[in-house]
Amino acid sequence: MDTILYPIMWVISYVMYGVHELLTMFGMQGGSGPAWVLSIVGLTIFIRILIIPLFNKQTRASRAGQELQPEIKKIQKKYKGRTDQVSQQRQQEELQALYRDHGTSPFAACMPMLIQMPIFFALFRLLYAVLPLSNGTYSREALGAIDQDIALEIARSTVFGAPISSSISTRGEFGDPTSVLVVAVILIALMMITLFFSQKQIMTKNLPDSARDPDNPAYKMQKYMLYGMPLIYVFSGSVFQIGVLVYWLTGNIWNIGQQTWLITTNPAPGSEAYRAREKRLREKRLKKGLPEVEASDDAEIQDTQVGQRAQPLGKKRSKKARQTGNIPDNVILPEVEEDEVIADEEVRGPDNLTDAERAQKRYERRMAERQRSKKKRKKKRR
Amino acid sequence: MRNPVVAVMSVAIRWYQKNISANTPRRCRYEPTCSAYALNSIQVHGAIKGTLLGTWRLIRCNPWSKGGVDWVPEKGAWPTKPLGYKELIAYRENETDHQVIRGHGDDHDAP
Repeated sequence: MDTILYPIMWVISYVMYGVHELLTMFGMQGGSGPAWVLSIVGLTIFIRILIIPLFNKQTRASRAGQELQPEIKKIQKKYKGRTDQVSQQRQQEELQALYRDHGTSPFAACMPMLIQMPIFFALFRLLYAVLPLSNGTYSREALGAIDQDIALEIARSTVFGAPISSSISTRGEFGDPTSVLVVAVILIALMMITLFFSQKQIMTKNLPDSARDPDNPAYKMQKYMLYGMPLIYVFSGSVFQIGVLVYWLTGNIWNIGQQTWLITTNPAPGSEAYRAREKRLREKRLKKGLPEVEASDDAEIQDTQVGQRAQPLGKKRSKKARQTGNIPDNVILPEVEEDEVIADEEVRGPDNLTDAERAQKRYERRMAERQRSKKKRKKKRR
Repeated sequence: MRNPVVAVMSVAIRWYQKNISANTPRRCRYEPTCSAYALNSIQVHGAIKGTLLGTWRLIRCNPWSKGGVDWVPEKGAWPTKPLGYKELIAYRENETDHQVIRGHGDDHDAP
């Protein structure tokens, strides 16, 4: 395990060492002390800044999934009420093709998590190695920047009396087991609160209304997670050292900050945060004395359109144009109302078939013919 | 489909589709689904190449693939890139164009 993690531990040790050097340069006390605790905080911030692009990618990926929804609805509407196998198959083909184009890799969604896991475990193993390193009993002489002297400094650094390499399960090996227990419990409680808050923030503010349907399985799952995830800390928290807890807590707080920034500047369309932002922007415009709504793109397009004016067709003529299929290119066809289309389909011709059934029959016959001619061609080739 | 091996394999796939797959939500990333693809490919290409194509498709159908429309290739051909939305529409338009030329005047069902 440590052999695999060694490169990451090596990098982490240098980041921590660098942050520590920086802090002592700004007048913090060198040697063992709060500077080493803050170096873990610095490590968290350093890593989180590095993976901001990944978070942005994740956000973009989930937005792309949401933008897909209207397209899917369009296709479903197109095949609405058509239950024959061919249309069903064609609908499925179109949907799958659409998913291919806008496919969101599940990889993008969990990339920030996946990246952080090895770093997290490396820190865990690093703090674990601090005691043997300070005794000189570790398999290596030094771990990156951490040699025996520095390991001793880290081992003696405490958070309110609890050494950063101690944990609840190993508190017996340290001088002050009660303070380890108290500090760890407080840290775990803080972690639970921050995690709960950050999840709640996303769920209540940054989910589009369409996703907040209580029957939606994904939403249900998130609700369980809201209460379940903090509970995981109770069980895992006893194994991890104070230093890891500090890392984790800092990460949670960073998360809240990042999310707050995201939902104020770039909220998910259709969510509560999105409406709040719209409202803010509107008020800002009003304050400046500008019109309430920004001129929409449609209006601009219509303004810039020059040349022959598009002629709207009457109801009767537009219907005829649709049926015959020769629609003049300088006219606007009025929107067909839904029930009108259905009424059209119900009309049965002299052969006692509706238009749809006729098209279906034609399609099947041509399909069969194509198959036959294909076979014929094959035979000729041979 | 005279081949008994193909027949047995087809029955097995049909059984899977009816009794196992029908009870679960759709999860294949492609159209046709992997089982439909396998069924079609052993019928078109025979037991050996059909199994090969079906297996290759199952391997491709993973969370990291993009999916899309991926029909069984014609006899003698090998799989090509699956179609996206634009490609699908273009393919269909191309097909209907040919149809109009070939199927001219045969619309017996027209009123």
